[in-house]
Amino acid sequence: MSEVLTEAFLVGLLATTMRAAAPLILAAIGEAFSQTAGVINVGLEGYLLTGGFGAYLGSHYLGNAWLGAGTGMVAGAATALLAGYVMISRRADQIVTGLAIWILSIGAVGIAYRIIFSDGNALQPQRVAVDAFNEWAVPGLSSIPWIGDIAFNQVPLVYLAYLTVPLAVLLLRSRRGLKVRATGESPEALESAGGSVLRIRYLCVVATGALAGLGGAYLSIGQTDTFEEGIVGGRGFIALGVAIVGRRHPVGVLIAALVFALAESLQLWLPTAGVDVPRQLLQMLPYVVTIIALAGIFGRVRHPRAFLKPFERQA
Amino acid sequence: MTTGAQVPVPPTTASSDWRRRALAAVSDAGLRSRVLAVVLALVTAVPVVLAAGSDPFEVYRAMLDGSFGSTLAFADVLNRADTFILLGLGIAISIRSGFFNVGAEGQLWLGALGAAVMALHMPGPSWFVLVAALVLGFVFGALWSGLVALLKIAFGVDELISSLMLNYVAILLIGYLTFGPMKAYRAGQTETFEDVELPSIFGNRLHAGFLLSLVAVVCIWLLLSRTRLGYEIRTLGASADAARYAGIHVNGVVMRVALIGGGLCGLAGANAVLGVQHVLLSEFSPGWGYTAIAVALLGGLGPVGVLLAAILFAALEVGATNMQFTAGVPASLGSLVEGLVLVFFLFSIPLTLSRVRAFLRRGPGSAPTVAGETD
Amino acid sequence: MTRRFGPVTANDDVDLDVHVGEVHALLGENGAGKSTLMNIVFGSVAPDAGTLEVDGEPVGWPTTRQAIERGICMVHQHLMLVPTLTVAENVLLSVMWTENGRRMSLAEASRRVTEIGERHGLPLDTSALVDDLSIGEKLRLEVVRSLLQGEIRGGLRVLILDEPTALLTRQEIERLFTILRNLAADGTAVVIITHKLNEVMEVSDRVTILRDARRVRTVPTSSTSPQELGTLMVGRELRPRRVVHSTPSGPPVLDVLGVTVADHHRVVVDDVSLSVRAGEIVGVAGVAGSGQDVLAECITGLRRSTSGAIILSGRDVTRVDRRDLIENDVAHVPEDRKVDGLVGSASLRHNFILGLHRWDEFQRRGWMRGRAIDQHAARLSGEFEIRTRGIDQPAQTLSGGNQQRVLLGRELHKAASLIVACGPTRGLDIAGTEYVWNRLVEQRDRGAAILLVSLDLDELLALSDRLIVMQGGRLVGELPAGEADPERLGLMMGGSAPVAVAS
Repeated sequence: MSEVLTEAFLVGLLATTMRAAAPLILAAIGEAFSQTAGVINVGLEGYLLTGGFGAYLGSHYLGNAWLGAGTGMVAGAATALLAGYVMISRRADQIVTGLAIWILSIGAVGIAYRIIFSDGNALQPQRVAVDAFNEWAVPGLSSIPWIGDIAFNQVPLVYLAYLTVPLAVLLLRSRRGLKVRATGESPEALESAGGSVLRIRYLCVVATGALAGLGGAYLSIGQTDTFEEGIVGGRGFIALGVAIVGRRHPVGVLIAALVFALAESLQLWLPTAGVDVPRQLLQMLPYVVTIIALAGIFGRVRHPRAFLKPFERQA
Repeated sequence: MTTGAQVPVPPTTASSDWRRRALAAVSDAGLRSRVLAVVLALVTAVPVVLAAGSDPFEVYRAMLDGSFGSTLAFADVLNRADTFILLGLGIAISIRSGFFNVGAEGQLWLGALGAAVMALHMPGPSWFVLVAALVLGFVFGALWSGLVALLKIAFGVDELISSLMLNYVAILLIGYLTFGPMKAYRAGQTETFEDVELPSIFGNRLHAGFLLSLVAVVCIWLLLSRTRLGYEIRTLGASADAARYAGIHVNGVVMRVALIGGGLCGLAGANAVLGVQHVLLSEFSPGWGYTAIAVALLGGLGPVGVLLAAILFAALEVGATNMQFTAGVPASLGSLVEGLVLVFFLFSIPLTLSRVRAFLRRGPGSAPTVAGETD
Repeated sequence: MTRRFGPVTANDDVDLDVHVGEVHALLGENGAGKSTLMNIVFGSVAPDAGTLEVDGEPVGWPTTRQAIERGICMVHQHLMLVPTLTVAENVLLSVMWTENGRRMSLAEASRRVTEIGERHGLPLDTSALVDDLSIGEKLRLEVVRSLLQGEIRGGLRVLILDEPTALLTRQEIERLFTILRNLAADGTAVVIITHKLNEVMEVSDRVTILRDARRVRTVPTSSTSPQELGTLMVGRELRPRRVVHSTPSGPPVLDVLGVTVADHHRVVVDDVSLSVRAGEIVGVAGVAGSGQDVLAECITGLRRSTSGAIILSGRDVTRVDRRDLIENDVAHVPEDRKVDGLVGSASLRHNFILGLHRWDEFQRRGWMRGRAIDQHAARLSGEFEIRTRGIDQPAQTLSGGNQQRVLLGRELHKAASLIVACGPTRGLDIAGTEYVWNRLVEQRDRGAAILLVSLDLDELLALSDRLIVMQGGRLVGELPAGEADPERLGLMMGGSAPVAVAS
């Protein structure tokens, strides 16, 4: 094995892992809060897709990657708002709503992409390069051996992703964090304390959408400079797993996202080291790990008491 | 030790009973809200069509032409409907028992795999191989779903998430096989198996799988409404506590439902490869297993409703594909409309729920006030 | 100084005024509108009409937040606490600001809870998880939280408690009442919602009786008697409800021998032995959570005991499947009919064979026999005088009393040798209660052995031929019907009385 573990291999692998974890963190960290408040966003895959397309579109028309990231967040948040309205205000089943939003996103993005980016015939969209993010080496830190190459020579969205983790920890500890926990655990108690369950849930869901939108922006204009319909590739569902395996805690999410991202990166890097493991089997890992985690192998994952349950004020 | 009643039921959260009720409301929602959802979805898509620079009237007519306009198109619709019917039935029976399995997609892929394995490797006369392939498709789908049930029963794993995750495992598994051990001359697909195919009926486009799905409709109808297992499924679906109270071996029922439901989904996969594709591709299904959840819900979780909803969604998809060539609007329109139908349908259900509640508050007609109620 | 609410049309023109410094009891049967009225005052329910005055000034109907700002706090029947948060965090959740408009911090919330606790004799561990508190401690937390909220708004003006005593022991109730009287003496108007006459007499200064959402009367407690209150509450003379007791001579039908149940390493039923004879009603008394419900689950096969044996008519059924039990020998009226005993969304036809659906009468080789099922349902509907539109009607659209008749009809139809009835009249009105009681006595006289588990002492005293008392999972006493009275039972249930086992 020693000839496999060269410096180039390890640095490359870990740098890729850092990058690959970013969209997972962005999508899962909001989701962790949503789930804590009792709402699951099965449509996360859809938020990532609309976010990614929104960012691409924004960058295309506004000519600036940062503005693109902004439109990506707006698109993700808007998708989440629609899902939130159906789940929270209309009290429809969350899982089915999530799937509906996902199907809807695929349809909407597919049709918009084909209409906007195809010449004449609507069947084959043209790939158009847009303004995208470039790596930004953090001055000083990026020259640290190994670590600099792994962690501090990334596109800005990756730094943003990791920045959300301490912010989320602070938020969780704040009074607002208490309210989120109360919303998922005992919504009646929150209401009788003068809080609003619906408000908290909407905030959580829309924030999840916005963050996932940013994650989607990374997938389109962060790691490439264009868009294709398959860019999300199940990351939304992996992010659901990340939020659950990470026990809905920001630090847990960070760890789970890194582990899952490592699996994703290994399939890129193992062949370069001459190790031949079928990539599909490595790709399965996050899904299998999530199931194993739910089976209680790493201790039981406890759902909030009002998980998946819509809230209705007394008549 | 006997199984069942005394074994603690896996931690179904309080929310799972809410889900039971919410989904019961799906089956109670009237025909009107279903039709309304479809109409609203078609209307909402109009601006999109206009943005594409096309005439909505033309586009919808092209979709209609592309689905019901010719025998050929209609045969395609029924072939697709066959997939949706079997998947929808499998999903409906699962949900009816309170087993919220969203793993139809994975079971579909496994079914396709089972059929392909048999068709490629089983020696013998082709009719025999065909039957064996269908059976193995059913079995593979059933096992994949049974795994979800096992995880729920033995480890208390919520079936929603495990089945969702297993869908990806299934797709990746077939990806691995079609790029690896089962690879044919081209990566991403197996050898073709043209000689093992479902016979055609009514001309040469529609395959016998459709008849199979009609048989399944009748069987599931009988199962749900006429048998003891059906009674137990309906009881369990309405209330897990009541089922336990009634001495129903909850885990046994869940397992049987998982096997039957998963088997039907597997059969859908077998039908699709044996009737239409004649090869196992790494991109075998574009997500029919998810669309079928919409089919099952829109069909009110009942066999006949599923049949109708399946034909509707099949017509939407096939019509959209054909429309793409004639009217020039991307076929994604079909997917958009499907998503919209489901969203609008979900919109309308809580309305129905609150109407029921209002009815209960007022009491039926001039009936006496509800006496002896705590709240 | 008066705080005045009303008229409230949602409650059908109820007027209520509560004075500073008094404990005011709001008395009424289930469904009389007590909780609704107070939820309106507290802002969680909006009234259709009416006015609210605080300190003589008319104010608009509040939202919950405004109610709290005015110093009106409420302790709900189902405590409004988040079990996964600590005591201090729960307080912080509802008490956001300090007097001078600063944000409350966790440390400050914690300090002030301790402070108030010391001042009023309500000690609390502020870092404990609410989930780990006893019911009494949780209630204490609710009161302390209200006090803190009051303190910040310049005094707790109104404290409303909705049925606070339901799950408390006698001793805890007394401690609570002392606290309430002290609060009133300090200038808080205390409103306590209850349907228990003795509590009204014990704690309140004045009492308002509600019936059918109307106010019947408000009287000073000292000028009334439990009998008068009872009459006002139910609208007619309370009949002596004791039924004729029997002295059974039949053989024991049920023998429970040293049954122990551990739930997550906690012993919830501890070495309980008892026996029930044919033609006998044995009542099981105990405050909620004393293990009586778990014991009933064991006997009816819903749960396995950790050790011990259960003998039914001479047959060891300790490990027998529930299916076997309920199809043949055991009728079970469960605690919560809406959750367990009936499938609310399903038809009466469906419900009348629930648990009997494997009988050969109703199915053959897995195929249901529709006609036989219909006939069965129609017959029982008639026999038990169920007011229904037909056997297709969903069970949940029936009134509570009629639902209970469906359940009883089905269970009693089995003519089982053992009937386990858990809270069979919970939530029923007087007529419904009488109906259930008569049917149970009929069964006893037929020769059934009946184990009656109930939280309602009146019910236990009225029906039981023999009473056993459980406390903390143990059987702590046994009394023949003649020697039991509420005081004695109460003391035994609370675990403080010298226990006389008379067996």
